[in-house]
Amino acid sequence: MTILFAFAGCLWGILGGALPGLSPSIAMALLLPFTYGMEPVPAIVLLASVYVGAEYGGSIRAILIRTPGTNASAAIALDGFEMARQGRGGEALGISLVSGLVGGLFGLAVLVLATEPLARLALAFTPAAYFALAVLGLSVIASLAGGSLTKGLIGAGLGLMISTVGTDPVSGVPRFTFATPELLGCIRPILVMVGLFAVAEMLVQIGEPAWARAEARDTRLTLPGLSMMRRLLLAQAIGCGIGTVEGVTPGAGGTIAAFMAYNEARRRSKEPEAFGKGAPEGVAAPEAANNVVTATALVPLLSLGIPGSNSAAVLLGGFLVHGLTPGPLLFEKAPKVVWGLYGGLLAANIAMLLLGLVILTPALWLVNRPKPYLLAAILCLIVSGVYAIEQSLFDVGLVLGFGVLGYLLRLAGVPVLPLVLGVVLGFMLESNYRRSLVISGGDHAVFVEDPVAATLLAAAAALTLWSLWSEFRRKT
Amino acid sequence: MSRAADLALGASALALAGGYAAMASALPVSLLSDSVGPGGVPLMIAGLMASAGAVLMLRAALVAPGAASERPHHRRTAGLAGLVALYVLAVPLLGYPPALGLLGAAVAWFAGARGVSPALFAAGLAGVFWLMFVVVLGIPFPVGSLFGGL
Repeated sequence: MTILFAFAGCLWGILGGALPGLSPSIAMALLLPFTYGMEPVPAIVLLASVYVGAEYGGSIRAILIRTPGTNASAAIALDGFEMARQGRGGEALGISLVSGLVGGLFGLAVLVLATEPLARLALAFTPAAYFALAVLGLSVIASLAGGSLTKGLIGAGLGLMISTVGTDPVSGVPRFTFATPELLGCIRPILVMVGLFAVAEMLVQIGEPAWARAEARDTRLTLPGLSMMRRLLLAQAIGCGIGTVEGVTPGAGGTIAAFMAYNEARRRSKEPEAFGKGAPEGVAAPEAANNVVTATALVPLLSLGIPGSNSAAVLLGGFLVHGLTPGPLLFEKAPKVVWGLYGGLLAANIAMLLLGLVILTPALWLVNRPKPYLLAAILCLIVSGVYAIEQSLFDVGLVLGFGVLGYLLRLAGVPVLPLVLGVVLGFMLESNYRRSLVISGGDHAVFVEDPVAATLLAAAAALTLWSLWSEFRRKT
Repeated sequence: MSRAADLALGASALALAGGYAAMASALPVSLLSDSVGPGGVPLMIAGLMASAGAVLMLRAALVAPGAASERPHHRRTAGLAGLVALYVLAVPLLGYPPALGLLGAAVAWFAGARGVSPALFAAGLAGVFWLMFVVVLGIPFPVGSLFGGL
């Protein structure tokens, strides 16, 4: 019966993740009331399976219609959508599915075997370390700038500017809101990404001189063969390694992991120039990283009771509803629930593979309809999904604005990835920088005295210098 | 990219950095504020943006111009963006399903579909989306002031 809940939860999660407007946490929250009358184990398994399915479902629409479902799946859209555009959508979905499974199972193994030591790592993260982690995330800009570091910096600057809109995280002063109440919270990164990726893509496509020309496309799901699996092994290993470390740090989530894994796979590839143009490794690395994070993000929740993401917070709600308090005592008081959760996550990952095999071919068929109707359907899906997030037409207008911005940036040759990273990491960077200085009484030495922060900052400096040196060598 | 486009981008970055820095400097400092203040980090970002803009302008002025690429149809792009903007304005008036249906039909027609198919497609699309978002997910979309709703 519990396995059935894992399949049902995973199916709902995949559908929810693939639908704009339903984030993984919302998909989970919608099911939370149904778990009230259930036994604790199936209830937790149901919620955890929705979580696994939704994190994967976000990648389907990122690949097929360049609309990332989660912040992390923006990294998967880069090469995944390029592959789909080249008529290799079935291959991209197959790679994403298998890499997601590899990442999910690896993350589960880490969760089962190493929760205790990893929990200690999570505790070592001070505000200074979080600041350094954000700097490390931003350091990949040097290699994701697409040939022009200057334009990459302009993109990153724009993203950081967008992240400062709203209420100041320390003093509560409204900033850059132009007296608009809707901007007092902040601009959600997902709105920026849907605009920059999906809406801008449609504006670009309809403006192309060969817009109406039919393209031969792949309409069947293609799972990677043995030789492709061997080729993807390094990228998946990179994703698994980075995802393990990033997943256990509350708040960091899959975004940094996915982008860093993408960058690292590109850096270590024999053909780095193929990235961004439909490289299978560009799908495998971030997908594996994202799915590892799905499991390892539960480490701080289970061992310390700290929900590291919105989805983990809903899962925490599920535990509390059944009178269970996550934390060190959970393993002693309710081992059945903990092991039930592990078993449910395993079943959810297998369900993800089986359900993927069933639903991905129809999804490919759907995106191969005549272009005018496909364009209209995707636009309608976007405007409906964006409205559904906060029931705000202002948000729909914002997404259109970011779409136009993305279109102009493409014309100007400014890469959008640094912008996305700036938006996603800007708040984390500023709030932790200022909190650290408040704690240290304004002394910047806190960033080198904290061992975790110092290590991460040194890694960021090394990564930036390495990327710049590689770019320089490639050009000369 | 052409030299003119890079110069324009650099100048835009400089102007944006200037405006953003001016707004950041004018931010009120709260009693709760820290040593950096609400404008501290934005001023650093403005510095980064201005430096990148200045370097880009300098480089564009010194480097030989590149070859021009195929020009996209900006009018079609503007038309599509205009249709979405019209939808945003029309939803409070017409309500969700009619406005969405009109958007679907208009975009399909604008993108090249002809005959009665765009209308049938749009009616079906509006129905499916209404069922999915309003009935199943229970999201309160605007009913439309023309029909007595909000």
